[in-house]
Amino acid sequence: MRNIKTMNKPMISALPLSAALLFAACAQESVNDTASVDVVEPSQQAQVSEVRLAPPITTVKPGASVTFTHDAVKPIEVGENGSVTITVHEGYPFGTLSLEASGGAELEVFGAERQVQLDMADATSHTWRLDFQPQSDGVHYINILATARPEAGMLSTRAFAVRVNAGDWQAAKAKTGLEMQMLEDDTPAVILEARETIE
Amino acid sequence: MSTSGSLTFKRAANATALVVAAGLVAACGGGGGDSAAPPTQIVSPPPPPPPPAGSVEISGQVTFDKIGHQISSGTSSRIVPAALDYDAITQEPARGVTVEVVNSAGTVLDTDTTDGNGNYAVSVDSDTDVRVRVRSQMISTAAASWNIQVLDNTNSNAIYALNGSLTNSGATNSRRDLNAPSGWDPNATNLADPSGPAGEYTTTRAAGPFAILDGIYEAVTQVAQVDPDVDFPALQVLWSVNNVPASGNISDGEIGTSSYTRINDVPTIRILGAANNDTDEYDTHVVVHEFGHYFEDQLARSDSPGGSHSLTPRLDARLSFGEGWGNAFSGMILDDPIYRDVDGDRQSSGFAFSVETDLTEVSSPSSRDQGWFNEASVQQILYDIYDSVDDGADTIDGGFAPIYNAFTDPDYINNSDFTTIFAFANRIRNEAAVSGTALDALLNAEDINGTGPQGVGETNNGNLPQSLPIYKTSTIGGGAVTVCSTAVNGDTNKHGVREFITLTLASTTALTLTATETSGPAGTTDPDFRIWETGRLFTRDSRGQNRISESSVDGTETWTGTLDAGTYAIEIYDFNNFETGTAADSCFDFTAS
Repeated sequence: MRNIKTMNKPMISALPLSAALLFAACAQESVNDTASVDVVEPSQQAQVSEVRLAPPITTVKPGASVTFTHDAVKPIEVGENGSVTITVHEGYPFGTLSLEASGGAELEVFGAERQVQLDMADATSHTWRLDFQPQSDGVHYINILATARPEAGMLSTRAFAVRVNAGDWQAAKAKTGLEMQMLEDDTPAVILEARETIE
Repeated sequence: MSTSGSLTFKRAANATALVVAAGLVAACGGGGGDSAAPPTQIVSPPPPPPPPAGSVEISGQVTFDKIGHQISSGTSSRIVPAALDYDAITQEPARGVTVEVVNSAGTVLDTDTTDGNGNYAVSVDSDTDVRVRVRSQMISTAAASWNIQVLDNTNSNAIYALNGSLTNSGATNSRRDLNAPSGWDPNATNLADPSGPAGEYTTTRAAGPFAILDGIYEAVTQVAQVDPDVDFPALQVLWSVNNVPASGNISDGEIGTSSYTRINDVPTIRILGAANNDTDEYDTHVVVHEFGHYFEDQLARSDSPGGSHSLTPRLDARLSFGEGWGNAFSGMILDDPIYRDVDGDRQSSGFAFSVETDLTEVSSPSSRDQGWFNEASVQQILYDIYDSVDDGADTIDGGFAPIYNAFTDPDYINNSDFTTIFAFANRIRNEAAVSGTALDALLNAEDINGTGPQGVGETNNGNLPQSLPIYKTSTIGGGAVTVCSTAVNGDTNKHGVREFITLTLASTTALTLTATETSGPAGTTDPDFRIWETGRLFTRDSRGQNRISESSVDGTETWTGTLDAGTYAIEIYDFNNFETGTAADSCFDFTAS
């Protein structure tokens, strides 16, 4: 079934696919056994005024040909240990892939698996387990940096992040906003303080 | 002298003299006079009109902290490590940005746009409390027009406003210089690696939006030099210090990575801002690369499938062209061929490469075969067309104009063929500044030898024989065309996942298009195809037809409908290769009847 396939689609193409799915069913319904070529006069056709184009694609910046998926990370209490299994997909036939994870002061990422080096000739998908412990309430991220070296002199990186909701994360998140102000033209603005010299 | 977050009043003697002189001129109603000029007088531009009586002028310069890069040696032959260089913070002019002067109630009293040196001048009533405010926005209403804003996607898409102090305007003209600081403290403990070297962002990163706009200013002004009437559609750039490389809710900053797309039909660049992970506001080549995609999408045409890519794997021909273009464009606009992108703790890792350098290999098979499927080949060709340095096979000194002319030519935009290096080369060879012989030399040096917009006769298959010819031809009632799909080079958007077919109709025709499996995994092979019309892919055409044919029927795919006269480009693939983890090598017979 198409919807089973879609569940595994990367986020980038999820929207176009969803749209495609909706219309694929319509296309199927229109299939018939017509085998001959019919020339149709334009005046005979029911014209539809509204046309739609496929959703726009997303271009991404250059970097290592590496993508990540991970299992769901449930909300966790401060001080509690958690883990996440990340699947790393790479598009190289050989070389090494270095993976490094860090969390910072608010999210401890621990264990020997924080830094690993993989042989990209072994497989195109690799699983990677990380253990962590939040140190405070809030939304924290496990920072991941992948460095691909398919061969000598060829280096590229790709960053990724895994979200961890810790403790009363919603309340903590609500407190972290910058100063906001509504400008005269009803434009919301984030206020940044300048260094100013007046003469 | 300046202090962060505070004011400094400086009243040097010469500055006072200038203010007094300006005041005298204003009091005399402009100081024009009727006396005849002496014969030896040097003609100089007339002074700006004085402010009205009771008004004073506030002028000054707006700057932002710019952080440079450390780039390891060796970009002439390979990709090298790179990092931000916090010992190289300079104050650069914020060019082309909107400056407002507001009173204590926030009412805008006057506006200006900074010039190429970041200078502005506004006029306000004397003896009034006013604040100078700089919006993260560039607007031009001249013949070359644009409206570009940097917005905080984690705060209701708010614009950034760099605020000066609320200070009395006084009785005489005055100067207020504003700087947007980086927020970096070299002595602070790093949050991601407390036991490592010091250095952290500890205060508001006000420079970020203006650093982003600086790269875009270069792009729009340089494009305007070759097309003084260029009209850039409105562009929003979403940047926040909360923008992390995670997929999720954009309003939480989870933008995936720095990218270009359209959101609710608004051209949108999203830029990472997560310190100690990946933040790109100072990676100006990244910003301009994404602007290059905006340029293609809005002023030219792109058929790229988008998605993950890098310099080494073999890519879909449309992706390799679009990404090679983005890389080359950043080098052209910034007059610096070394693309750099940093990430990691303290922004101390990353990579850099030169678009001038041949990063491909002649030998095949290789992980970086040169050719039409390699963005490194494309970027080198495009940059060599542009630059004035003759190296290797490059003897072209075309500048940006012929490249712009080719991209924006309606014949290129409305062509039935996909946007690839072949379609672009086919068009740019018509430019007087680009010798066909010299262009062929560039292409051949990257083992690209097909001709015309479809690359007819191409012999470089990227280690995938089935990929040639690049376009297969189908005819109504003609024989079956064999096409294949493989993820041997990677899935989704890599070389070999999709093949191209052209179908030309002499008149409006009711037809059935069918793809039938001839080889592939039993029970799971899933041929699908998309019918493109001059770069447009309709999910609902004027007859209500969906041109994306992606049923889940095993082993076959059929589309029945009516198409007008014209040439259609069809991309065909096994859906299993569209997604990660279900790769399948399969082939199909495609027929049109």
